[in-house]
Amino acid sequence: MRLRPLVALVSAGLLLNTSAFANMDNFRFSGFASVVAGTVVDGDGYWARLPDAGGQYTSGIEFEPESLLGLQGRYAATTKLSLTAQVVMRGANDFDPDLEWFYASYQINPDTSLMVGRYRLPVYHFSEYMDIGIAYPWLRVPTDAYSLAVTNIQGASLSHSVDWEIGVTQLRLYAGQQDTRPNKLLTTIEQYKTGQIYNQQGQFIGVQDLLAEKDYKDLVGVVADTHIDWFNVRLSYLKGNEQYRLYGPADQGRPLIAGGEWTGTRFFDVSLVAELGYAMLMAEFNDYKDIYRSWFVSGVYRIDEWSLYAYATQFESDLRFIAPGGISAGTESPVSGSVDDEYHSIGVGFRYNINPRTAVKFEVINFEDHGDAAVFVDEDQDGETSAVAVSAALQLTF
Amino acid sequence: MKILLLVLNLLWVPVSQAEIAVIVHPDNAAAVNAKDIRNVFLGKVGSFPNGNNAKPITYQEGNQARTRFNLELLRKTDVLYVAFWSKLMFTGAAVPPPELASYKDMVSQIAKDPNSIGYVPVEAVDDSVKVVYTF
Repeated sequence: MRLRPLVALVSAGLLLNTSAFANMDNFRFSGFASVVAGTVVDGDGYWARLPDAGGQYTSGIEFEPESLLGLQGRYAATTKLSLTAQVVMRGANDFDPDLEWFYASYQINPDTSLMVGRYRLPVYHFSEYMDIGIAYPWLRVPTDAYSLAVTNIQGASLSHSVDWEIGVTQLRLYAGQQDTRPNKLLTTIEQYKTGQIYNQQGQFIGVQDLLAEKDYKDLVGVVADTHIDWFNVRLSYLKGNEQYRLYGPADQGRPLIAGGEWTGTRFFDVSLVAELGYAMLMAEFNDYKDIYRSWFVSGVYRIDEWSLYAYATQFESDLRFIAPGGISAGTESPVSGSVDDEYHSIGVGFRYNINPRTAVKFEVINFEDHGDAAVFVDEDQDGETSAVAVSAALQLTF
Repeated sequence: MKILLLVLNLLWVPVSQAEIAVIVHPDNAAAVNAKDIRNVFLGKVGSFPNGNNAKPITYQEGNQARTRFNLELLRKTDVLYVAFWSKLMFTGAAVPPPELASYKDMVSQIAKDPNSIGYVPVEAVDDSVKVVYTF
């Protein structure tokens, strides 16, 4: 949803602030930002596989792959009805403003609300706020376990809180659909998996003009997020139908290479968080039917304004058609072959709070690729794309 | 200058030692405990135990009562409090409590709204509000 959304959001804010009918108390303007610098210290490149294909690092110290600025405006039309718009400018998209969220919310009663419009698909523990770096300790959410091919959907969502004797459960039932054309994350995955181009000296010079699209319909999901004192367990389940399409280069008329059929799908995610005074322990696991399983575990220790953390995360897909050695070695049986995409990462880092709304973070990540397919730049064309990368970030909210 | 110092001295409340009172409107008949207060101030529930709408109010960052309230009742440092509410606000799940500048403003606001709930040092309590919890 583009339509010069930044201009629209700011204009709407100015209009509301100057209109004779507007009440400043009813309009709330807020935002968040991350300035992230990263570089690869070992390997051909590191890709954090963020939404919109963000997080790609190949040479030098790069500032654009993960940096972003988000602006949110919320107008309370009545005490029960509000309208919220969120514009995000991502370095991965040349900081072009994109109206990512736009929804109306109605408070049915103090503990029940209805949301209608375009909003973030709440499948993972952090999927709704993985852009809000100030809200979590890591420099980025461990991305091996967060392979979001669709981030925002259009539909409706009903939330309800249940306060029982020893805890509170926040229930959410949602439904919607979304076409992702192109799907930037899947396009980039396919380009590096099967479409890397090398010159006669064997040097990587780019990727083929492949294009991936994915449409989602009949999505119905439920989230149960329960807090019991220091313990939090969150369960998420989604089912629906999806259609994947992979197209060849534009100069060949974009021939359909794969996909084109609607298939039933389901996604399950469970996360556990324990807040133990100075320490936080967390684990998350998810299973995407016939596509992948992934998980991460992490420990965080807080000392005054410092948080020290470590995590381990892994991704394993169900695809088995690329031969060991990468696409340059050919293909193999999709049934009895070895796994195409299998990788894990170990990250260590720290967060320092300059003030409650501003933090700096630093992280070293060791990414190990054990699958047959290349995940990112593969100079020696063997399908193995392990890397070590370091990143530093300034993250804030206002 | 002496007058200014005298005024500042009169306004000074040593919050780190003082008892803090959680206050509501006198007409609010809801019985609340620490868990209820925590759930309301963290946006986990939107109502008092009696079902009435609950509107929590807090202070701007740097206020000593806010720091102590967050730490002792909500079990969150100011950093974790901001992180928690950033998550809810930017995901549309809830709107953070409005932030006032002074204890006088808090008492005045609570006295006007039967659904509101806030907190002040016990010395700042007057007859226009009702104390439902102290710590």
